[in-house]
Amino acid sequence: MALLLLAILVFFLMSPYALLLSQFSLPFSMNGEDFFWAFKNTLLEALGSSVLSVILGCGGGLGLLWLRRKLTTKTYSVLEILFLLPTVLPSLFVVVSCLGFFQPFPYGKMGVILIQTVINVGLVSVLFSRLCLSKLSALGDLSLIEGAGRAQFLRVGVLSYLGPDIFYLFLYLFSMSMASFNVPLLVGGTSGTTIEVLIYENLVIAHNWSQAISLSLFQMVILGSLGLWIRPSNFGFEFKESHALLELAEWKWGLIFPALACFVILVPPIFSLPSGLLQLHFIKVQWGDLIRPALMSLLLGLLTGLILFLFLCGASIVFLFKGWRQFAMAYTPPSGILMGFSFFILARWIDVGVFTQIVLGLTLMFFVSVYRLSLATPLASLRGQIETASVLGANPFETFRSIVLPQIWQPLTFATAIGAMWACGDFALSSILSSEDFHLALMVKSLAGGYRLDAAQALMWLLYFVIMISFVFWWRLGDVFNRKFGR
Amino acid sequence: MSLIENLVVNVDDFQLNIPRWEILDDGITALVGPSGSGKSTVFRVLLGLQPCPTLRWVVGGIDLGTLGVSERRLGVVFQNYELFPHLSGRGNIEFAAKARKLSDQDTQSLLAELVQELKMESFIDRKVKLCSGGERQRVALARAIIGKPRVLLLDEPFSALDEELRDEARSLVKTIIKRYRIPTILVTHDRRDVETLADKISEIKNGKIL
Repeated sequence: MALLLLAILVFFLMSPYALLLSQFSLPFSMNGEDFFWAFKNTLLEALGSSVLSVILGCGGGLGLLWLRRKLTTKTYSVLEILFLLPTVLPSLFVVVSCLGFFQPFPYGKMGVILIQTVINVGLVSVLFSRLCLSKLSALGDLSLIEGAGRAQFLRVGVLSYLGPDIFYLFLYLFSMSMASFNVPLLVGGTSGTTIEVLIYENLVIAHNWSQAISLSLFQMVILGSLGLWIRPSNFGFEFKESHALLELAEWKWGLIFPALACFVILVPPIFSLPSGLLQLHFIKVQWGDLIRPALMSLLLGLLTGLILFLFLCGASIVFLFKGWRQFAMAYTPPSGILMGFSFFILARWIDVGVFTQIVLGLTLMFFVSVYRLSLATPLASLRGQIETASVLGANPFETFRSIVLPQIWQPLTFATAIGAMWACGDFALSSILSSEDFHLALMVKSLAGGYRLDAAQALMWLLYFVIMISFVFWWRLGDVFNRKFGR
Repeated sequence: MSLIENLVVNVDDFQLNIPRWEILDDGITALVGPSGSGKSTVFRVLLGLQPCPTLRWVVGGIDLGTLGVSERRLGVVFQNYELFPHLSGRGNIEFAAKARKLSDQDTQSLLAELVQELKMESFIDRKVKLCSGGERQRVALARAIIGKPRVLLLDEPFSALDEELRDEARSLVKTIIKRYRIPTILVTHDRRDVETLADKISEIKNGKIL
């Protein structure tokens, strides 16, 4: 039974790729000029944003090291969460806020690089500060005692010793940028078209399937190769608490970068709220018109959460299979456009309805990310118990029900809550599969696309509210279950 | 006497090669060796947690090497016990009984017997995360035994205990194993464990039994 479950999980996760591969035929049809132009844009945008994110993020990380000494642990944790918001929130929020903040906005490659940097700089800051604490603690103390200078410590300790980790961080961001569809779609303009956007244009606008298929193959190969190369295990450190001072590495001004990214996404939408409401009124959007899209957004979040929850339970049941653990770490989820394309192909044989397609597509896109983010580590820490249960004669389902589930309610529902939140804010897959703005994120995207930025930002508050409900529902569910059935 | 044959495993540059190893049917066979000698790998292979396609281990006419982890019907006490922290001592033991599909009646009578033998009355209903090291060890032993295992495997079972508790624990383990007549494999590097418990001693070095 567990083997069957494993087969079902792998089948579902691989099905988008299988559907796309089923359509390939030789010879490839590819417009070389368009392809090279889009590929060049993709590379430039990915390179620019990842280099900038790493440089500014490392500065932010050194700033966090300084701040860590000034704040209580609790306040510091809150600040870390705040800095992670641009990465964790659906990219729609960052895009719309940036469009409102940077006036005039540099549409095109620069715009994409700017937004990707705003998204990533806080993440890099937090990761880098933790990396320093994890790997440099002893070295930092020793350097201080031995009387090493700041420049010497930064050169030998930070740059030289942490160089490989920083490089992997760069590669990770680079691959994320290569796969990004949402940001270039909204702000890439005509000069920033990437491979992902070119596939979208061929598929949805020009209806040139053969070209889209060839481009998809190329994108699959690139993303697959990057995914195999850049695994979480490449980051050669574990986060652990440290009380080291690392005074030699601190740089308080570095905090400006992640703080500015947070400011950009949180503050301007507050100030533009009154004018946004006026603009909504002006374009004759009544509150009554928003009830259905708001409910659809909520439904999208809750249903995607439910399917994700079931997938995550399945992943926990088959966790003891070494093959699964390796697969889950190596698997690269399809990007929004590849997922959308595979549903176009599937629709030739089975019509499951647009809403179901979006729910299933988002589940497949987010599953591995939330699994790695929240569940893989707690499951790994239970491995000894799972093995013991197996030796004692328990089957995987029995072990999951009695041993694993009571101990992972919180990470399980937190992973689900994150996925549900992303689903509420999705506009990429939704806009590929649906021609109608049936939920809030699609409405916000259309308003932003039509340069009604204040209205988009005002509507975003409603979307924030819906996202919070969806997130809190799944998160609190974990608390409830944990109190009732957990440890 | 059960016989382990062709236990051959390659891990990176290390090779474990045990062509033949006899295990006592009654009493404790100790596997002794320094760190890095391959003890833990032998332990994991016997439990079925590490694959070894060549392994042949016949116990009571059944080749355990061909069976999956749960079908081998083994009992185990790991070095850190691997108790289920969200359950009580009773919950841990009942989980093992249920996994082995013991009837409720058998479970309760055997549990009562074990609680008495292992002097667990005062903490059996306490969550194991609140129990002391010695109490946890007794729960782990009872959990390993209740499923009536073909063989009991103990991996450094006293190393997590304070020195003053170890002698008492050793004597308790010895009594229980004699009482239930379960063939036992004890993996240890502690000479005192061997002196107190072992009926047969096998020494392992560089992946080979001497």
